Amino acid sequence: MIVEHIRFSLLVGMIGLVGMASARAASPDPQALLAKMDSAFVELSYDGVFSYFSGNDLATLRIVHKVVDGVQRERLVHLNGAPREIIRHGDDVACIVMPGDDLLALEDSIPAGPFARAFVRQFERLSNSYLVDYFGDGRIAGREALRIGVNPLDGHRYGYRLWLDKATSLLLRSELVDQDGNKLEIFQFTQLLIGDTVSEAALEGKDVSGSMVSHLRLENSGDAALGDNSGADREPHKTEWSTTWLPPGFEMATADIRRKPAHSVTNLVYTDGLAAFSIFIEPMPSHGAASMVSQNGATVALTHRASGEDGYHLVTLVGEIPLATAHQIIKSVRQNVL
Amino acid sequence: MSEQLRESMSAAMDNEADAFELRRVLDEASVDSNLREKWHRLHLMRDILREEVKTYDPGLREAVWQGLLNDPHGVEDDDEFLTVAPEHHANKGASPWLGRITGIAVAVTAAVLVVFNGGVFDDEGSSLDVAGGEPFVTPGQTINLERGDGELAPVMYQQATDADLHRQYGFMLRHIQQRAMNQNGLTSFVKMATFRQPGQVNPVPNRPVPDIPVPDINVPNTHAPDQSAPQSE
Repeated sequence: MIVEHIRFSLLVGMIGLVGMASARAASPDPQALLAKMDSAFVELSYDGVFSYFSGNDLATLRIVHKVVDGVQRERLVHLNGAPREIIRHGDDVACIVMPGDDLLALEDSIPAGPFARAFVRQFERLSNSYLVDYFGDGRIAGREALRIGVNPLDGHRYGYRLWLDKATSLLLRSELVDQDGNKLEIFQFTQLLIGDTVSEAALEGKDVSGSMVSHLRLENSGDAALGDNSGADREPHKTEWSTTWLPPGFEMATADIRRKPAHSVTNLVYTDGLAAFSIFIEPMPSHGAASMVSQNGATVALTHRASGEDGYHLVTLVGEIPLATAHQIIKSVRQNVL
Repeated sequence: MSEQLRESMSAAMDNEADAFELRRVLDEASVDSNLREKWHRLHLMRDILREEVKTYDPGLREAVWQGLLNDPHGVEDDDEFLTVAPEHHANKGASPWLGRITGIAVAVTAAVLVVFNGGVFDDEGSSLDVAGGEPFVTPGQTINLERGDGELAPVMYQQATDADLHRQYGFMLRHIQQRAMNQNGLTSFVKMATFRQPGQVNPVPNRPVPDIPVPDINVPNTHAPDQSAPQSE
């Protein structure tokens, strides 16, 4: 009801703004600009250095992106500490790290295998949960920018402030903000080159002696263990595990099960078109487990238990959503009788 | 109230009750409505103080605080069976309940839920302490409960072990990777490339770090003669 009211007020407001809008007729609908931003990521060639602040840490990275022979290629290099690179070649993503890196150690502890296809970002659904609007101009890395605010309509999700390059719609800066306006994550280019002068050689990974490579890939539709929700069929299928409560606007994007001899993990992914969270359900370890909460920038992780038909299970929820919302969701995880 | 029950109740409050003690408390609570009522009030007060109750009269929270701070005998002054450890006294004249409800409040909740749900831990999520001050790990509560059907529920530990941390960060990474693999965007893989186990600084290996050159890039409006100017179209 509140959402409807806001939408109505918006409509009234927009009618009032029509006169003003003609003054900036050159500016497209901000939501359309978001879609343009998304295609700029894919289509443009760019090479730049940016800062990324998340949680308590500030990192500096270099990104090189170019479409070569119709294949999207990308190289992301962490410029601080032990070398880390991520090299994307179409759907194949290789992660190059030094032995002992956290990424390798943690990957060992979770079910391996391809990632489920889940259409996490759906801009057409944004207006159900967010108000997208311009909020002035800016300048980032020496480039003129348009500022767009993506403001949540309730307290169950975070907002974004985006600085898009006026010339190309490429994202120059983004801030992920909570309800109180605190910045949880900041991304910002400090140097940027856009266009065909981006060299193909810069896409090649540096041969770091002693480094290790781990590959990530998306599953083919045939891989899905438990249905495939990526097709035209948007009907929520009945899964063994589900939630009895979801924040408004969130829908299940995918559900799959990784089976291992002694261990299977159910993974559900939900999205509101922008924010997303995952729920992992596994049998309760025989030696027990701790209820715990941890946070990394805007990403929160909660582990707790849920009682199922065949005993207790351990549920872990991870997502870029407020802790209170995550808490409410994890409490509602239930096993269904299929 | 028997001495045994008091001891069991006290242990339950401190999360130190074993399965037999909890059974004793549960049995007693199932027949003593006064006992249940008392736990309920404490639970409500805790929620109000922690601002978990959204609809309450303005000033109520302050009034509860005042009541706890001013009444040396506590709002439930016949609860002598509940001993309060000295470190939980926030104020000498304050109610012994103050520490219980605020500092170690979640232990109370766990016990309350046991009592009110007749032994079946329906509202398990509430035992999660989401109000912890540590930026990363908030250890959960010890809940070692016997279910109504006599089956022993699994232990939820108070302190996270290395295995617990590893599991949770592993899932965190999996979520971040899954997101990255499924969306276009500059920032898609950034979170993954910068992901560290909380509390760990990026270790620099002993071997020499190879030179990873920073691109030589001109910012617009700065045209270095030996560089092709960046294109902005």
